[in-house]
Amino acid sequence: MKNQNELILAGEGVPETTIEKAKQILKLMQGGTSLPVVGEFLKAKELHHSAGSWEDLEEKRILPALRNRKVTLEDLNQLLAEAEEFGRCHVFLYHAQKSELERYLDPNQIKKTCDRLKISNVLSDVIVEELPDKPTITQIRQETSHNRTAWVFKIVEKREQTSFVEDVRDGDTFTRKYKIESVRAVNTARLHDSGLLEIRIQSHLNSNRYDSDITQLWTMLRDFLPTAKFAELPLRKAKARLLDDREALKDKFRFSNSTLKDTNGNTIVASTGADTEDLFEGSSVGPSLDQFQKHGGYCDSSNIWLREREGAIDREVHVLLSGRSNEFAINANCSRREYEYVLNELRAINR
Amino acid sequence: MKKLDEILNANPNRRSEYTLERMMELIEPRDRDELILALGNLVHSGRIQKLIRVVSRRGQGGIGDFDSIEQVPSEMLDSRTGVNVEVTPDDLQFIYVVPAQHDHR
Repeated sequence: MKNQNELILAGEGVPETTIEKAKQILKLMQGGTSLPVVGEFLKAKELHHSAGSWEDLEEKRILPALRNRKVTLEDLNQLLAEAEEFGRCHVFLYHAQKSELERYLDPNQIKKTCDRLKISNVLSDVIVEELPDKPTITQIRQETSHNRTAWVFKIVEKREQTSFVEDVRDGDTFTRKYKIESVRAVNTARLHDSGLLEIRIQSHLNSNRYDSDITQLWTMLRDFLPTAKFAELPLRKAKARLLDDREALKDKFRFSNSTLKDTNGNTIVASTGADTEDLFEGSSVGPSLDQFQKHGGYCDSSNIWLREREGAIDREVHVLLSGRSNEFAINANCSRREYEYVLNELRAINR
Repeated sequence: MKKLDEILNANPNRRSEYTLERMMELIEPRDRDELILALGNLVHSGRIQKLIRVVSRRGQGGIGDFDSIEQVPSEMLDSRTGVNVEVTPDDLQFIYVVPAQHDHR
């Protein structure tokens, strides 16, 4: 498949295939982002950016900019990635064996593997498919930032999710009716040159179990990232430090609840009244949990909020530290900047 | 697995229990399946027990321990709240129990 530049060079105007693809990308963006975000993108390019609807945005802003070559398909692909690859996801952390890392990051090796699997098009293009029949690798790309490199593997799948409709009574039978809806789910794996591997699975609405999603993703990427060469990176230290060093970290983190367990099987759950409150602000909850920890208790899970910080994030971001030992979740939409901030902060306190 | 041995001998005078995820945190195995296999062998030899616990969504404590997934009912009384609840996979925890060492003799 030709890339954007080749398509433009091939004719005088922007080819119809490019326009069609841009329309498809914009359609996908509607599910993952908002008009102001796309407006910001246009503004950054010093283009007209106001739009009252997605139709207006497409017809009056994006397509004219594309035809005038002020915006490219690559720009739109990047915006789509920013919109749908961060937030609303459960993240599982792993680290690679150093001896093998170079091979997994080698572009030639990745290209060879793509050729062998007959999916070379995912290296130069994004397969725009809203609801594929089966989970599909839609893009493999290299990202470079601050002289650090990472490879991103993007997988799109069609999922079914249910939403409650009504209770139906028929004689002495009672039936709960649910609507089944097909939704697009975007899962990604990002391998950093440090050896860190993040697997991000789009959040399910009806379950907190991600075992089968993780297995499926590892299976799909086995030719690029063999499971056996990666170990889980537990967040135990981060969970413990958040409690132990809460005074020093209070400008960065706020707790809305925390669950502690011990090896007797006992559990202590501490929660704020409103989820906007801080569990440790002026209450006796902290010393109570400390006491439990002194007698063998440990932090099993926490609900934390990363506070707004000038120059970092402009609003609080909610993070769940629960589930698998190497798992955290951001269940709301968030920007890439917010996601990267959360990841970096958690890693910093997990050392 | 040296760390697993340490866990087995950490509290010789009393029964201790660990979720699978707590085991993962403490042992940091290279491979999750490897740990599950090692734990399975210990269960098979009778050194530890494995149980499946249904956890109350509201109370957080256990409301029933079962030896196998087949034994877990689809609905049961949540003794922590006094109401019947539907049991889903999200309500289950795998627990490994290390008995007090005198229980072994």
